[in-house]
Amino acid sequence: MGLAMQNSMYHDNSKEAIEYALQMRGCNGVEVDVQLSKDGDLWLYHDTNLNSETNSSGCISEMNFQELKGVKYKSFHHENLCKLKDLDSNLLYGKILYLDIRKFNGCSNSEINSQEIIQALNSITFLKNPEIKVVVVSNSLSFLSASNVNGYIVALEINYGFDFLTIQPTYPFVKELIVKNKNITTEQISIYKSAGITTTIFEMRSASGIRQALKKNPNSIMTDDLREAIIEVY
Amino acid sequence: MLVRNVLKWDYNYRIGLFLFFQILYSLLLSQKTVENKTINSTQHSFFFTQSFQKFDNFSTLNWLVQRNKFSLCTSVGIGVNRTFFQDRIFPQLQMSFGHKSFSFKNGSISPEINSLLSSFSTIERHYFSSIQVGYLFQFGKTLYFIHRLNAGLLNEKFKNSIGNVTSANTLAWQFSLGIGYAIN
Repeated sequence: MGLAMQNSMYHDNSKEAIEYALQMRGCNGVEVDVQLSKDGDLWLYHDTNLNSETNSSGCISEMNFQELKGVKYKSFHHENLCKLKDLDSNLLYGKILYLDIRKFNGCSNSEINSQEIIQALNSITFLKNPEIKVVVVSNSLSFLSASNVNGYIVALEINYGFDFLTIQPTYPFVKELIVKNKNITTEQISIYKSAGITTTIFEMRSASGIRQALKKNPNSIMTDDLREAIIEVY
Repeated sequence: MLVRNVLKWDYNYRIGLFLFFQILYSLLLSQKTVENKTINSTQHSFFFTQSFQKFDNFSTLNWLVQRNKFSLCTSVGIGVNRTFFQDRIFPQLQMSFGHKSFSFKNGSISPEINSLLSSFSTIERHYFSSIQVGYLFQFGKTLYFIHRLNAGLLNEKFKNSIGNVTSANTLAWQFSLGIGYAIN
């Protein structure tokens, strides 16, 4: 459950927001956006360019630790940009950590090498902890295939409506789907479930949106408003 | 440093704030005497507002006591979305102290300091306390239009999944519109 809302306490992808969410009873996981820096570290940030949300500019993939360590969000708390390996792993025990991998370098309009990202993931010790369910999320099937080879559970993010079952035989390692609420129906979720595919719905902005998503009976939901979602679920 | 200390406000701080408003209230209602004659210029009024805030929209009933340019307003409200659409009662108590600094024909603007307490439950109960500054705008005499705009700090506390208390602070605001009736 991310916290990208006007009524949020902290900026999404900040260490503070993630720890705040994980401490709330009823939250069983978080989704973070992951980008690879020039020197091979994984940083948590959503947008392509830093200037949209922080006091810096440029792309993470073209910057190193020295350039990124002082970057702060343009928010009330001015939270620091956070590295994936700096998350408090104790809070993640028994929870799900969805890693939405951002492979696109918006500054050079190119894709980042999959193996470099996987190598960086492999270097983070707590991602191998069996107490934490780590799910690598991407819309790139080739990247998911490479991640799966390295032992990660993978989830395909679908940003438009299409029937995954038509291509599923080619990609049998994909057992989880992340789909926008507006792009999936109750019937599709039911079919996916009977085929053994876990479905998570995202992009709900209001209580009624969360309610509507829950009525579709998905395996889980990712929401921006955690309190609202917990009320609806429990 | 001062901000850090303010951000750490706890139960005692809230009690202190409540007492602070009580003292202001006592001062407000104290009798003013001029040449041994008591002057009583206290005016009571009630107003109803719809208040748009960070975590919900509140329907609020307010009791405003004005005397010698000072005013104290006590309000009770309820968060509409949580209470009526999510079946979680979300009450709010609000106290504000203002000074009618700008008066004009049929209206006034009063800068004010405002303290808010509210709470609702998810699995655990969440407590919100806030201190804000802003203004109260009134237009009309017996029946009047009212508008309030405040911003300040908000603290949220809840018992977390490992049994400790999580405390978080953020920026909060409220924008209210309403209608009031002056009793005297």
